[in-house]
Amino acid sequence: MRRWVLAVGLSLVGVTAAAAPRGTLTIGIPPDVHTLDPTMTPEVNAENVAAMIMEPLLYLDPQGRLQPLLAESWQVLDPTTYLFRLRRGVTFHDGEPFTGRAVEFSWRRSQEPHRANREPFAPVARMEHLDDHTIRIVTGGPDPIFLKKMANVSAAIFPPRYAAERGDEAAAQRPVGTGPFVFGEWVRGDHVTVRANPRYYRPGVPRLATLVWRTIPESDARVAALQTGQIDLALRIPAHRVPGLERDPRVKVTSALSTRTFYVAFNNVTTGRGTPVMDRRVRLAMNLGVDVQAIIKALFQGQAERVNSFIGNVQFGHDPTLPPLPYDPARAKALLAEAGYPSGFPIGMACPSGAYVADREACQAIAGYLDRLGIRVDLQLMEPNRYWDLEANRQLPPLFFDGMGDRFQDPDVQLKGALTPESRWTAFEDKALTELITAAGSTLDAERRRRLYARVARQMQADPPFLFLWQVRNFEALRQRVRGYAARPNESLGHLPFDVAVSD
Amino acid sequence: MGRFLLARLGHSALAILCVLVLVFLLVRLTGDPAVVMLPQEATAAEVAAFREAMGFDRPLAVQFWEFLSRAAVGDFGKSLHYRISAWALVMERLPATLELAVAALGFAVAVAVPLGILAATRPGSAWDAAAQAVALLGQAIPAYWAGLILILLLAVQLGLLPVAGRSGWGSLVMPMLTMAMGVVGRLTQLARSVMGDALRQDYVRTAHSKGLGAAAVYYRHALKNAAIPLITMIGVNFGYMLGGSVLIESVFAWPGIGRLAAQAVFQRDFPLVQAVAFFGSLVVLTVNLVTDLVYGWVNPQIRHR
Repeated sequence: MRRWVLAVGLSLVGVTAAAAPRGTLTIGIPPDVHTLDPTMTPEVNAENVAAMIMEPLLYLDPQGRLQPLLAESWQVLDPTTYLFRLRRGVTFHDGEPFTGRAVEFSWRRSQEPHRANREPFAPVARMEHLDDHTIRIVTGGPDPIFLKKMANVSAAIFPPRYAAERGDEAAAQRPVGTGPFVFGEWVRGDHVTVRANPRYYRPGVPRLATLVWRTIPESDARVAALQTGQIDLALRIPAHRVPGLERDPRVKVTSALSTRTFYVAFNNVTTGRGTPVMDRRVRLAMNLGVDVQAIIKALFQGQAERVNSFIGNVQFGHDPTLPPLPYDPARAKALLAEAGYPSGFPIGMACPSGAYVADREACQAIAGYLDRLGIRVDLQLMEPNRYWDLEANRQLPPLFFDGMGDRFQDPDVQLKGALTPESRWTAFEDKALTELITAAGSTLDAERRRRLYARVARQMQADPPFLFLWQVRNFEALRQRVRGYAARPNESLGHLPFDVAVSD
Repeated sequence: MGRFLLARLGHSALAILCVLVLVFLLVRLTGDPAVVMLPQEATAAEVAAFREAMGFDRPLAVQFWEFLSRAAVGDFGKSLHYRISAWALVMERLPATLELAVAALGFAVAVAVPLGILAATRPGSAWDAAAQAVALLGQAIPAYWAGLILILLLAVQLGLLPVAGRSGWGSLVMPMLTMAMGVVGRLTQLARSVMGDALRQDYVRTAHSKGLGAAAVYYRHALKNAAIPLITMIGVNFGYMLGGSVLIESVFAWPGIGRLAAQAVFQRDFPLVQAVAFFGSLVVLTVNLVTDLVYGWVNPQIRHR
């Protein structure tokens, strides 16, 4: 288990020559940014802004490969021990030198209980300093996605002096990091501006002189702002606006399949106990009785992909050789009859209203298909926040609709999050499945993990914990002057400083 | 006058206290902020530690006492999401909201009152028809839809104005028109009706028969009497506008109090909801008080002694 990964050269994808940064890119984002301290929020847009200013040790490139950032190289000594050689000569924007002490400070700071986003650094049990620029990190147990976590901005390295002297408020309002952009200004509710860091350690990065993040909550207004040139890049464009935008010569559309995997969960822990969903044949029948492809076509204009299990199509471990469960109402009815429900049964199902695109309509369609099997669904639509409260307390009815995504393009987080007894979201317990998930989540051997996840997917089809649905395609649109940009599955814009430029 | 003011201030303080108590209890009924704030992968232990660190686990009575004693000295605590003073966040958004409210109300008054008077003094004329159309359309068209149509027309098609944000006078035009629209409708209708009533009064006939010019009769006599309901409506609308408008601020990405309030509610940012609610009640009560005082200034018959 000794593995060296070395940085080969300085250049990252897309960086060719050390040209001076030029031009301004304005990005239209839907939600207001609340904080620029990534340990304070898991909200992806706030993380994206912070990721321009602050850096973690590693970088996950658009192809999903780990690249050096503040760590020049790294070595996995054993399943719980990592050696990082840190970049020398790097300073924070305020001049404070970057050393291993800053890494330890950032880890300890991130684990303070009042922080809302402690996950990426959470596996760390201790840090040892071999010298100023070499650290050994020991994790509490084997974590196959630990290195991916070290590439997440929530594991960004903070300047100890600035953070200690100026406190949390300064770190959240006027962040200082080692990143390719320096904080410029923040008019809350309106925009955040960052400017190219002239002392950034990578030649030719960033390619942009100024980056403006403008909040435009309404998607129609975001599209209009893009068409008029007020912004250059509009995130989260609804699918129904795409055909119109594709006809507009001034803009282009880019898309990526979201990591969020949708499902209808079965509860066998609390509210589902003693109901027909306890029977494997009933759960399988429900999977066979819903024409998921037809719903995708009708509600998402075909811009979603059916999943074969709870491992999404853009995640590590996805088995493309396993087809999704077919739409087979005749077999579904036969299975129900075999289970002792030839004329169906009544059951409760909950659905958040307005949390996701077309969530209400999706639930109504699913309930409609189940009704054809004789399963009379009492559909309860709820306000999303209330919904998640009930979900976290396992108080939703035996069937409930939701989606889970992950930041690391790896199924570990969502599988553990929805299907192991330790998680607050788990409403379905299956010992065999939990064992497989735990085994895949505690080995660093990628091939072994892949084999285990293939078994997880098959086990899920044989004894479904969910009614498997889809992953939706996310659309973003940009002006023709923007070069090198492509949407990413987890909506991360970490590649922006390295790849993206604007022409005049 | 002094006693009137004192009594009104006492009522206002009581009303604010009631609002604060209600808001404190109601926002807590919406659920646990930790569920909204932490990432989905946070474990139950992390959630519990977070709730303890943020004080959500303390008995409601303890939280309420702390909230009241702090609010009494103007401290609403820190926003859970922004982690800075909740009151400072509200005040930070005030200029944008004030700018939009003053502009929209100014525009509405400037258009609606003259139009209503013209319609009342020339019944059956083209002005009257125009006033009725404005009254109907202004109230019937949803602001959200009108905002999007304005964007398509003035920004996308004609390229005259920026779509979103608050950057100079150009960016004020569309949100101002959208916000003013409903008020223009209601105010035109009211001005036409109250002015029409006033013009049918005996004193107007007397004024005319004394040989006074039409302008003097309309503006010095009739309008003064018709002004009270107009002032009431202007005051009420100004109060609403200062509370911000979620829809208009969202469509035009206007960084005002309405959007801040909506976010605070959806994200269970208790201190921020409380600060916004306090601000809202303060504004409504102040505007009502000022409106009452203006009545007396306009019409000495109802001056408070």
